[in-house]
Amino acid sequence: MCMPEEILRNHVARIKEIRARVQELQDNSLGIQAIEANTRRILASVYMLEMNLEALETAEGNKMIGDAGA
Amino acid sequence: MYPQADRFWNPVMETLPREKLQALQLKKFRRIMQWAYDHSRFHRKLYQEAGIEPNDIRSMQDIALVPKVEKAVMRDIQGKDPFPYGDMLCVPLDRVTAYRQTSGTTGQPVYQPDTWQDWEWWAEAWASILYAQGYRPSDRVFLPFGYNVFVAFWAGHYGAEKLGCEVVPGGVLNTEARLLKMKEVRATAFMATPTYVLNMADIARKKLNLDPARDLNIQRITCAGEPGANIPATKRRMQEAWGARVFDHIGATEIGAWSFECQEQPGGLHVIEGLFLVEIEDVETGEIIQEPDKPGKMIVTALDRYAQPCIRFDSKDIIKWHDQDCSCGRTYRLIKDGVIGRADDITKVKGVLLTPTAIEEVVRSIPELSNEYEVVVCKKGDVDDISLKVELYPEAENRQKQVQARLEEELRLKTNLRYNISCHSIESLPRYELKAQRFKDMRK
Repeated sequence: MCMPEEILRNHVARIKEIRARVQELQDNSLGIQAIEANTRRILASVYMLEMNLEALETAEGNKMIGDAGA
Repeated sequence: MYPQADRFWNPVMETLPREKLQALQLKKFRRIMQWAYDHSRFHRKLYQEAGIEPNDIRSMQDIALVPKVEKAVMRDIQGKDPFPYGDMLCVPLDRVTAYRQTSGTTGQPVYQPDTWQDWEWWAEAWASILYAQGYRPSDRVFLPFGYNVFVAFWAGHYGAEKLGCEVVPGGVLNTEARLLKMKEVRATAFMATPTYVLNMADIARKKLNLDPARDLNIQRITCAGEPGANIPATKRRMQEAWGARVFDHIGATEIGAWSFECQEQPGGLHVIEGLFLVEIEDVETGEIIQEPDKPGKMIVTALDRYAQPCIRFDSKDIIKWHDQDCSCGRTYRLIKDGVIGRADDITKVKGVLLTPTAIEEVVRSIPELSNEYEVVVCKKGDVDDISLKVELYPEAENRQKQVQARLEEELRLKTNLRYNISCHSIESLPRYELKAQRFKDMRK
């Protein structure tokens, strides 16, 4: 079992992209509470994904590719 | 890609080779320490006064240089702005979405804030715990607890939901109503303190004429909140009463859900090392213990908790590493026998060190005695006096002398102490719904 580093990098890049886009949505929510609240919740789940991806990087890679967001 | 992946909630994290697990822990420790340093006046001052910065942490050994935090310190800084958490809070107050507090059994409760992300983290930890104990989406999980300010089984609720279980909240109901609801919906699992697990079984038999093992559908029970599920005699009583497997979990409001007993029931609990760093500190020397079977104080860090970070928290719990790996396949280390005492519970009576859980193990290993007991330590003049009240089942009343003699002898062997023992009838002693307070030291 060994995930090619390229696939792993793609996963990490995708998660970072999702985070950036959801963050952008939150930042530009026009003060609409429904958007702010739901994007905040999505970002919480994104952190869980990042956290688990970080473990995958540790298992599969020789170096830490990304950082879980805070 | 991961053989037998369905055996684990997270087969990657739970089976990381030790050196990679430690690399991950080190990276996360540095991150959470940097976060606390940057966002909390309390932590920055603490570390600056100790002459240490996050960049100084380059190896696992360096972590021992980071100052510890005790519950008493948390009590001192809380109650101030940003109210009520004080300057340990690392996020703006309007990012806090969950308030909980500790149970207050050791003093003034400590307040615990969590953000949405922290709450997802709680659910993630509990999902891994319950999955390890055999919970699956096909389970219907009943929660017989008050849903109040104690984090207790809130996180179990959300963890079970995340895992995909059907969760039945039994908050407002009294015990009889909860039992009847569990029967009605054919609940397959529930979570409670050991005290309440035994209490529920008692009430089922006495008030509802129900035999939980025969008449209910419970297959697994997760215990938390107090020792019991890792005290063999107590575990045996619970499993026999319910005809179900009983699993232990140890966590804390101010730490998180840091450990679980897996389905292999290896005589200990796994530390969730992908999410927590546990160090065991020698009580006398302060050195970090790596070898198995040597008890010490647990110093714990929650690696992903951001609102009020828990970094090298001195839990006062006494634990020891297990001397064996677990056959479940997880590389998460085991602590043997669970929490074997508390540094502030272990007390000297007549010059002898006494761990209250040792008394429970003896009392509950004697079938003629009920689950309840009460220990009172006081001074008579200059001399310590320890008395023990137990309840005798009615059918054993004609054997009281023999039962008492056995109790005296087994307590003497286990604890090296002699007690003033009195046998009482059933229902004489207090009953507890949540955490019991059976050990009372009146000398304090």
